[in-house]
Amino acid sequence: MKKAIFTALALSMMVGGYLSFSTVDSNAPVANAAKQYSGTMYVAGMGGHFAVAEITIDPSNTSDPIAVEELGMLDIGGQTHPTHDARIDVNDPNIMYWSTYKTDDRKPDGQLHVGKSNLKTGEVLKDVAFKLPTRVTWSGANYCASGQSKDSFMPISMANDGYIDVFDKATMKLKHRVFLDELGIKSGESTFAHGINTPDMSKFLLTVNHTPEGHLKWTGNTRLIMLDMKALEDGHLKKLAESMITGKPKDASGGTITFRQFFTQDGKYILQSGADRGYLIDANTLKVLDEITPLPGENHDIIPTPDGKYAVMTLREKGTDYCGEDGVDGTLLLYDITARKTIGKSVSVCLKCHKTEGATNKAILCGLDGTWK
Amino acid sequence: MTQFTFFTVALKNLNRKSFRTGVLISAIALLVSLLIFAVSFTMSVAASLHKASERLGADLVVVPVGARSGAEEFLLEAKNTSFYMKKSLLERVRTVEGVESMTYQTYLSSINGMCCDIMPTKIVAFDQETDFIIKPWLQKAVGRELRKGEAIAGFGTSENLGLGLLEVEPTIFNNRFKMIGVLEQTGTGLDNALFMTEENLFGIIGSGKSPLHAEEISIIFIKVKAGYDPDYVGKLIEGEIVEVDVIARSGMGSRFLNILADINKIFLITISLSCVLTVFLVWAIFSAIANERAKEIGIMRAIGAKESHIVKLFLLEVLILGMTGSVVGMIAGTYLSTWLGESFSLVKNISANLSVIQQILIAILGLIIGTGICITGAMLPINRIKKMEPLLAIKEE
Repeated sequence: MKKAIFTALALSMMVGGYLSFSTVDSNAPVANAAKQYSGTMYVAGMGGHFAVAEITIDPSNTSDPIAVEELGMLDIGGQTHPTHDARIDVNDPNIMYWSTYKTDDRKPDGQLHVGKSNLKTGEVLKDVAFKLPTRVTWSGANYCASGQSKDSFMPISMANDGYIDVFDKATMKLKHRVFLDELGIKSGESTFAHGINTPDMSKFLLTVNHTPEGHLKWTGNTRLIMLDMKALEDGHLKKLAESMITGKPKDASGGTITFRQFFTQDGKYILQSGADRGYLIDANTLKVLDEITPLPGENHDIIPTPDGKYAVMTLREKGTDYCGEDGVDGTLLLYDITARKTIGKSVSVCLKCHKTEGATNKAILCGLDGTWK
Repeated sequence: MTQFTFFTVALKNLNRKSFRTGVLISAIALLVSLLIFAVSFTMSVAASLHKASERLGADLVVVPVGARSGAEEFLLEAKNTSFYMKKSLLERVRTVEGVESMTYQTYLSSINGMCCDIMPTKIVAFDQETDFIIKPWLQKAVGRELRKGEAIAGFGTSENLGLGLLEVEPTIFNNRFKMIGVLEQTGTGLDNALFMTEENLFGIIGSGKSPLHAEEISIIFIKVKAGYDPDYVGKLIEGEIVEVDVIARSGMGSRFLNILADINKIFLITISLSCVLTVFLVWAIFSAIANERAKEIGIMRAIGAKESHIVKLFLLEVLILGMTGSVVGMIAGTYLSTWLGESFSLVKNISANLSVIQQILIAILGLIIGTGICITGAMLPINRIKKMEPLLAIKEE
């Protein structure tokens, strides 16, 4: 009896083994039991609020890998506070810093806002308003990206001339306003400055679209300039490294304009948004490892998962509003860093909420930040 | 006895104040010549860029990362630039969705010195088997394929290399070449190159004098499959092959077109202001003429001239002025755009030129606008003078 059971078991194992090897060849797509992720994404929008998206990511779902479980809103001031910038405090994940993209027309001379909110309660803890620097000659776009150190929040202005502000996190007082002269960048030679700190906060990556023929004259190329964080906190720009990444010069069919970016938490990669494409960049050599293109929309930010295996891209896409009219939607798309390709379809985090009577059909997102569970 | 006609009277009237007539004709001529020069300049640059990109015969141009502007300089201008990528990338490009056919070229610049006995020249080595860029011109020029050790000069190269090129066998990177002819003009930067087949590159690399290494190419030309958007295929290539940049045909010369857009704005503002100024000038002069001739008009009306006769007489004067000024302006503007235009590097670099028909059309446009502006400026004073009461006009001192 024991022999029979042992023989049956051995045979069934052999048959099972044979079947499992013969039915799956090496080229067949396999639905790996990939790790799933969940977290809360704070997606900045031009309506002066953040979409608060509770998402789960299942990379093995090759059609719809990102699911929006819940969608809420974090208001920082409404129409007077259009924002592109979400930056969660490294010291306290319940605090998020933000800055505004357009000037507040209620204020005399149109002022910009920088502030911080409590993510648990939604309360705006601090909102500082101030005039544009007199040196700014073009203010069609202002704060978008930002970096931080332990004690400072550093929003970067896309204006011409571009500049980096250094705010004290505790008091939200402006400590330094640093224009890009020290890097030898002349007015108009670069367009749309962005940047972010390295995960260890020892360096700061500054990116500027390279426009040697004049402001807004896109060449598709971007300068990546690694700065020393200590010097920046003291109001100076000390260049540690620089490289150039290339893209498509802008024409009627679109082109490459770089916006916000993230480092993976291990500091190995930079995920750089670029409108018609995204970039995966080696953080040490500043060389491009992958260009993420074509995309179903315009890419403005890319945040990696904590393990650096995947990343969530924000896109501006065509969408339809509550009454079927064409509009602009804000969506999230999954990028597989290891396989170097996007996965499945994008998912709406803007018009999904805007699809109520009276809401605007132009949901313009930009940057995001998130907390992972 | 001389017969008086409206035309002869109008001519006599204009001759009475020949200096004033000359000033007016000059003003209109200047306006028209500015207009013709501006339109010719911008049209020739835009048309040449379009023609050059069309002539390349490729939907997409693939170059090494960072070589976009270098490729445009090479293909559209007469600049010597070198950029290289691995030949193995060809296979990766071939597998991208939407790619129908492709060919490649390798660019070199000859150098002064022991290795080359010609002045620095752009050298294009092409793959004869897959080529669809050079072959159409080659067939016209020599009616056969190029052989090893043979080269053919671009339209402008034979002049650049000096007289007698076709009678000698130049040495390029220590390799002797037999020149077998000159290609017809294409209007692209390739007019200023020397063409040879890829098999010659082994000898050139072997000379050790060139920057080129084995298994390197400069550029890949691609035709996309019917129904595919070249821009989309370009993105697919860039997304799959990080070592390359892609230029779509529609994007060729975007740097020039951006400069051109700014120049257009400057011309538009200048011409608009000049038009307004000329209208005022004509209005002022014809107001003065109307006041001067008030008594004359009164007498004419008193002896039976109708309002329409007065209008006809003055309109003839205006037309003679406008047409004469416009014709002078047409000649001056065409001369400026043809001869002076060539001194601008923007035009010179891309072999910009207009066809005779295009120049005639621009000249006709100048004639219409010049004459139209003259009539516009004169209409108010003419309108005032035709309504003059004959008796009042005669009585006025």
